Amino acid sequence: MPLSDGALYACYRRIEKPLYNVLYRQLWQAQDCQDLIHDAFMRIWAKRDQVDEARVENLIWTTALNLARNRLRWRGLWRFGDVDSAGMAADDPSLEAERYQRDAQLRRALKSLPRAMREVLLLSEFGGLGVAEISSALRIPPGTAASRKHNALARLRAVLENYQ
Amino acid sequence: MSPFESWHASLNPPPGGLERLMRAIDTQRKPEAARWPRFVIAAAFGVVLIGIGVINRPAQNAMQLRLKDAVQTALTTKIDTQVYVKNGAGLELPSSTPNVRIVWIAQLTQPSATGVDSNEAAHRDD
Repeated sequence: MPLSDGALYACYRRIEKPLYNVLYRQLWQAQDCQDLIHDAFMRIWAKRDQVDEARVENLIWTTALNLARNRLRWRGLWRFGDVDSAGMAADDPSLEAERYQRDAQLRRALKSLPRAMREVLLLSEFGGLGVAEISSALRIPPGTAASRKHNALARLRAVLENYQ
Repeated sequence: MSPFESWHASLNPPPGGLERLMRAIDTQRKPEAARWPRFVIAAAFGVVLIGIGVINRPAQNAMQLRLKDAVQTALTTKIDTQVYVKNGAGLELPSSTPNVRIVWIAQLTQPSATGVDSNEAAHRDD
């Protein structure tokens, strides 16, 4: 069944927040993330005649992750110093500074992970996706997704604890 | 809170994302919708033009036939002008001067081949 606009909007409402959280930990720019989510949905809409409504969520995840990879390649990222506040602006400047510091540490820790592991970790922890959904979005076997997630979590915890 | 715990802090996306998507899809749809009436108007215009052409064709043919007949008649009928045009015809035109007659000469070949002097075309009717 071809994709209707109603189904696309419903999907947007459902996954905007988890998608944004995953993308933000990759791009670290609120506006970039929002633009990318928009682009991903528009791309799927452009192919609506070939898109099955049941698979739309999965396709959005795959498309958004591909776009994020391209964006990072284009930026020559992961470089430091351009983390924005992602709408978390606090009234207290000291809290703001603390958050910025934590984000920078997290960013460094994530950067230390191989990309394949990092993506699984982000989808699992921020996207709230299960192993089956991750394997489908990244087009990898479920067993691979599960082991990558386990290893990534262990490595990230070790790296972050070193910062304390 | 450790960096690992803060990692789980859930962020809210900037507002207006869905409205932006709806606007973009709406804008994309409008040209598609606008293309249909334009296509229909163009097609209807084309049909009207073809119709006019088809309707006018017999009339045009009839006019062409009448003109052809008139020319043929003019070329073959001898008029009472006392002017004989070899290989052609003479047509008397209205004249404002009573004692002057004006005749228009139509020739089918070069004047030199007719043997007719163009001075014969207009002469005083004494």
